[in-house]
Amino acid sequence: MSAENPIFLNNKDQPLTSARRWNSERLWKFLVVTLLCVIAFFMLLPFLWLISSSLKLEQRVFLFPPQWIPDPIRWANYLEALTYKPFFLYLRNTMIIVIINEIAIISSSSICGYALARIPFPGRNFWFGVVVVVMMIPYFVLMVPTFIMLSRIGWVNTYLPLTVPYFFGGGAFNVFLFRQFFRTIPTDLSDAARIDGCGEFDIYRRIIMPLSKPAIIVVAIFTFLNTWNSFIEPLLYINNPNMFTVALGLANFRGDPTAYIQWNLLMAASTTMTIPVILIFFAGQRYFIQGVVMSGIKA
Amino acid sequence: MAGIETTITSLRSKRFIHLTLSKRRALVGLLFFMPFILGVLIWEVLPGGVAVWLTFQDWNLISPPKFVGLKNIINLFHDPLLLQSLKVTGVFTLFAVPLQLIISLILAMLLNIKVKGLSFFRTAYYLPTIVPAVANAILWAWILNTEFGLLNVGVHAIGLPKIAWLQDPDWALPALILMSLWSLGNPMIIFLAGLQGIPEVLYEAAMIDGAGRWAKFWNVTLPILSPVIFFNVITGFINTFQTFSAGYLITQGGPQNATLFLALYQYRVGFLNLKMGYAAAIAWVMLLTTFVLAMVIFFYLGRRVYYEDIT
Amino acid sequence: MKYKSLSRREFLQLGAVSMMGAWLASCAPKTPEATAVTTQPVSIPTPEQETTISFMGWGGVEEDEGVKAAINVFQEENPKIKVTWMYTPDLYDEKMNSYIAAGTPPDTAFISEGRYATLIKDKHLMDITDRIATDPLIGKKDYFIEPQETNRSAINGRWYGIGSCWTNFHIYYNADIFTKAGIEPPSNEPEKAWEWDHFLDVARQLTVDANGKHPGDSGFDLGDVQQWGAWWATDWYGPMINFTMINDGHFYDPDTGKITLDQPADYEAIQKIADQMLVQHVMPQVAAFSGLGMSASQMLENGKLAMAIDGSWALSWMWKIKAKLGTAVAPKMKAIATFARAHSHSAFASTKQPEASWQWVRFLATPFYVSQFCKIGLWLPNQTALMTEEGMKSWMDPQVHPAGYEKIVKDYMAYSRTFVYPIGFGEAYTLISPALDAIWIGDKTAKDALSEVTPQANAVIEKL
Repeated sequence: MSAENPIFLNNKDQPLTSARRWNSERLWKFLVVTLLCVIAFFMLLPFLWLISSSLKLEQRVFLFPPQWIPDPIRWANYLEALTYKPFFLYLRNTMIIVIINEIAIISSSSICGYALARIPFPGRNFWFGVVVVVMMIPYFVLMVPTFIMLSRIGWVNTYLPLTVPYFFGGGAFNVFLFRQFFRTIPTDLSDAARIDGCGEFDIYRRIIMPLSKPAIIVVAIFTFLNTWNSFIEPLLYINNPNMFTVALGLANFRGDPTAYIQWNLLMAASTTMTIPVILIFFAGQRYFIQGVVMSGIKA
Repeated sequence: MAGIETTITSLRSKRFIHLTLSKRRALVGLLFFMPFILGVLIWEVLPGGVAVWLTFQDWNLISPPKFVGLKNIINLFHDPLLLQSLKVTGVFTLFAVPLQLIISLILAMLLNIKVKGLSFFRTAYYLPTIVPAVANAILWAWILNTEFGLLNVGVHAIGLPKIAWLQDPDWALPALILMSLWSLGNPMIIFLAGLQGIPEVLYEAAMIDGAGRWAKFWNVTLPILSPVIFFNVITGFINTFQTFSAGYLITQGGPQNATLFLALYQYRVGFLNLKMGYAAAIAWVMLLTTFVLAMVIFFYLGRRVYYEDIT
Repeated sequence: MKYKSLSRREFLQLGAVSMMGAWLASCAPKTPEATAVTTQPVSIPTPEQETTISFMGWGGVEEDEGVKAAINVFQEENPKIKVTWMYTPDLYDEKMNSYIAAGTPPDTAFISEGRYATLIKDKHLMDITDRIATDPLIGKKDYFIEPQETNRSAINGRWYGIGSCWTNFHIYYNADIFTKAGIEPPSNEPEKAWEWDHFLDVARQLTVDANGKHPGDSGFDLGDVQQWGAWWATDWYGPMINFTMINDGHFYDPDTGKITLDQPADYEAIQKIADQMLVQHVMPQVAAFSGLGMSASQMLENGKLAMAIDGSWALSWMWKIKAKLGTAVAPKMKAIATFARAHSHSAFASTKQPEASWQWVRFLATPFYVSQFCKIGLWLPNQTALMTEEGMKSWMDPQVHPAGYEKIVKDYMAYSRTFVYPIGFGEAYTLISPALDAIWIGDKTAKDALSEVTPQANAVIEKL
């Protein structure tokens, strides 16, 4: 919305005439870009080391001082890493869970958020309070009891614990997000529709949701990121290596102090696993930010 | 018209038709919201009940549970490791969250300036957040390595002696705080969105009133941003308080329990020491502390938040 | 702007294509089939109808393939028994507990040494004492290395599992460094184990900084060491127990049921190891290798390390280093000793197929299964049959096993010590570990730190 960060007048707080503008603005922008680059460098440095190690011979990974440009460059690492353990399988497994969760979360949390935002029903405010409280419950409090419950009914070693809960409200945070967002849509629209005879579900489906693309994208991206990086739940529930997710596949080296780890292959696998996420973020960042803006994360 | 008829027929109950419009709407609303209500009952209340039951048992998972009454709760008060983990988690959260928020706000402001390559910078700054936890752990364990780590390369280059980041109990937690500052993509993006939601008009008005750069920040940016800041503070505290993977994957709670996070300690008690009942008791401690913390933030900070009218 | 949106589209297209490729790739067969390895398997009587049993275990790629090969051979020999392999490379103990809690334990499994006693106490493991005694092959008196096998497999005379193999701790050294320095390397013969002072002396001579100085020379720069004399693994309890044993201590005394770290034999041993870092400066600070860091084999290969003391399983990757590798018995402090350990194989008491489960557990104790892993340097045999001259020829590989390694396999094992871990050992070690952290960096002396924690550790263990 704001085109330029308007804090930046020239130093003497004088409005920037075209002459002053040209000099101090160019200088300023140059400084900012430099600063951004320096920070980017530090942000990316560990990542660069990750990529660099992924292309190295095993013995060279931990050389000191570190060898930034691998010599020789071993592209074969990537092939080996992805076949040493079935990483494509892990990717497929993760994507299955992601897709199910996206459907579950977007539909469930939007409908619940819509009810909270637009349909007065008894106890609505109380339940909104519950949403906020549930957002604050630490995962670890319920982790063990949930595990005990689900292992008794045989859900261990299935994807059920990782997906079914999301059909029930899709996560308090997402309900909250949608509710906030829906409140920014003028009531006139739905009033008009109601006069035309639309039921609540039609209003939800035909009017509100199409207007909510930014919010949907935000929830979709957050869901993707959370599922992708989710490590503890799959760790607890999935035992069969053929069902592993990406995060689990990477975590496999822990546990046995007598095991040998091929660091360069592990780095190659890690790098590969971040690529889809980078793509999604890069492609969607504008919508993502827009969505966050319009969801009005204002309590 | 078509809408009302389909609504009526699809709902079928005669009694429903006799209700007033608002009552009908209320029922529909409840229906829509039912998944969440069910969800809370099944996934929060039910496990919560199990957790309460567990607290009074001694259970090692592989043999039947034994009722032990209040023993687990009493043990909470005599457990030096629990105290240590509360201290560790508290200190970590207290330092990491404000630092993260200040830095992510600064970064967001920088990213709000129209310069070339903005997309690249935004992605670059967000990238660390999407590195998988395990890869992150290897990365940082190497960076923080005393003999060969990247960080000590820098320290050595400035002429200071190498620091045993992960071996020295005084430096381990700061090292992890440093690591947490690297992945501030999420609060940063939310701040960025918040900044972009500030109407230009306000800055222009301020400028007309003769406000300087700092005054603008203090009087326009901060107040308008305050709900966002509040949101980030709450979510930051809650999430940071539950830190687990850094301790589990990198330090295993050491050295000398200097990084024994509460979540890690609870996991260890339950799954390694096979004391599920006591682990449940610790979980209640975690819940209680989180709530108290949240209340404090709500009351202390919540009152200072400035809300502009939205709807 | 146009350029930007084009590249964004391209990104997405690229992403979509690679996703499709990945999906197709994932539909290919999953895990590679193992190739059968041949030695002489033993033929045994089969049960009547076809039964299926499950076998749970951990390990890396080689172990996975070794188990699969063994299953193939076993199933050939026993066409009525099918074995399902439950490969669980991570969080093994936690997963096993959850299976038991859910009421679905496996029929047979690897049992990690720390959990053996706990599972026996809760009556989960099948008592196989009588079956072993009446077995024509395994029941023979000197089939296994004794008294070690009984010491780790039997509780009060009853056997609930059979050890998978043995491993011990010994020296790996870079022979080129020794040759260059003109120093005689250590020996594989236990009787020739180096005295501690001699070991320290050699380590000192082989620790060199960037200016060619040794520890103790004036101007020695600890911050710039190019080559270290020694390194001992310290990041888990296995090596710790080994330290105490070479000083004639116990770490845990099975007779009294107590951890003995507050005894001089034990804490002096730990102090001696710590002093290598803090006083003699011949060992890099523990930080260099903690868990996720660089491996000793790379240090040996790069010439940054002269001697590494680690488990015998490390041979499976150490033999690959480019430098010439030598092995030797560990130096002695007060005793020539080494800590022998490994996981066990057991059948669960709750199994519906006790006969088939026993046959499988028994098969795992026969030479075929074990020799697969001995060949690659991962295991040492626990059957005496594989330790005779002929027996060793059947599995030793000159590429993998350096000259003289037979002494580590046989002679050194005669000096090995072992025990059954007490219940609660895992928790006890989480109490001991912080004390060790303090010792390694010199914050506390071993005597003070360990005297403080030993009573706490003893409070949580239970002897069965």
